[in-house]
Amino acid sequence: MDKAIPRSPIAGVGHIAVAEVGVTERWPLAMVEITAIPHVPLTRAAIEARLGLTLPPANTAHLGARTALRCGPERWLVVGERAAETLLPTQLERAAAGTAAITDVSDARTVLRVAGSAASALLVQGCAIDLEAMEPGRVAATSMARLHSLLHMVDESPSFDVYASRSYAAFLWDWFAQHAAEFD
Amino acid sequence: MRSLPVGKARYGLMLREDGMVLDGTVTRIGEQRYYLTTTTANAAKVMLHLEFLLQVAWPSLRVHASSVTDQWAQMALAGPLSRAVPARAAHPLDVSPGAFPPLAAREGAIAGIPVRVFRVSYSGELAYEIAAPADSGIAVWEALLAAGANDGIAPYGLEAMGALRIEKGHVAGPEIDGRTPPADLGLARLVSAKKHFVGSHLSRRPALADPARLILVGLVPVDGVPVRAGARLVEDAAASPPVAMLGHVTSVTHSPALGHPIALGLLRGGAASKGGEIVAASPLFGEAVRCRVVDPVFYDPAGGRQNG
Repeated sequence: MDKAIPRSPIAGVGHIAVAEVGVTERWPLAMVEITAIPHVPLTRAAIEARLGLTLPPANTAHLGARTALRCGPERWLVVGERAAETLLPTQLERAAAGTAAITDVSDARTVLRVAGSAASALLVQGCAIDLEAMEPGRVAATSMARLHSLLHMVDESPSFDVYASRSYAAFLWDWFAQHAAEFD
Repeated sequence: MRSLPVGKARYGLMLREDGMVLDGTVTRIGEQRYYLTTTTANAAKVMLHLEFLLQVAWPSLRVHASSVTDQWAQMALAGPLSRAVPARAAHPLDVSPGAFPPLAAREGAIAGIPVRVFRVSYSGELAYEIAAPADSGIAVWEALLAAGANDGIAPYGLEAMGALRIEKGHVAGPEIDGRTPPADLGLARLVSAKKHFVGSHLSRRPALADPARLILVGLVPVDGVPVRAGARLVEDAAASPPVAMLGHVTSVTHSPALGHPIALGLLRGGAASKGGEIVAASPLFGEAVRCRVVDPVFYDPAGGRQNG
């Protein structure tokens, strides 16, 4: 039997590109949740050595070939290119040695990159965060287009990544397509 | 759950603190790792309940719960010939009855995609549930359809699933309505008499042992006409009000296996009424359907089909 080909839930939608803002799906990504087990000292050094990065403090992200978003107390989402990271969950399991729950959520989120001079103006239509006060590297768990989402300000161009549940990928994409129209 | 071996599932009942049924089937997928599946409609409620228990009742537990609802695309493969499909498509799984008995859970690959295969049956047929990472859900679905093509495999939808589970008396949202403890649903055997669990204290309230409680029953329309979900169960629909309400119809279907309509309902006294008749009244529609009260398991009560 042929090897099956994975598909994004919004495969084929293309890009939203209007004059002042663009929206692109980031796919396929590897995403692994690291959550420290309560009352157990986290083998943080081993995990950081394995990842090659420092697990970021509250409300921030480390940006790189592997990105790590802090998404709650003692909880991070590590994001990388899926093809390069097939072993990541197993490696993290080993590094965490039972001190953290390692959960592969690569297929569980839709990730949209929103970039351009009107990116903030577009995003504020769907969330209550004061984006003028947001700085590159910051992460916020918020409601975006009425969906529970993670919002990561990637750089000051500005560009943002929006993480939401996979089941709502088409809804979120349509929301951006509809709301981006006014920035053409 | 401590006695549940790795690679084995168990139909469990998660209760609320007040002893009412919430949901839950648990599979032990690792020494310290469990995979919990629920009725779709109850998934968010169950997750909230777990978070609540971990944060409020037992903050000292070294446990973390993650929602993986969006990570896995899970499909049911059911029917007398269903064993042939994973036998052809899933590697390197041995699906022979001895190697893959009811409630076994294994990891394998279908079309190169890593999958989890569970031998659980909601339909009451020989059945498997197959979970694939969501991005590969359609690909695995297509691989299963291809593997079963020569056996006449066909997709079945929620309506067919509803018919199958009602024939088996398997409860779902309409029966697990927040007012039913296990005994009302005929599931008292799943409740431990020995150990403490969430809901055990309030399960012992005298009102929950009242013989006049509404208990799950099967209903067969005497004249073969369908009944409506939500119909009230009464002695005599023509009686002048106030008419005593004896219960209600929860789920209805045409039973292809039996060739006539059937229904599940919650009826005062339950088992004591079996063999008798009751009227399912839907006054808004001007309908009153006389029904025989029977066991809620309409089909294959010995379970030979699912355990074969």
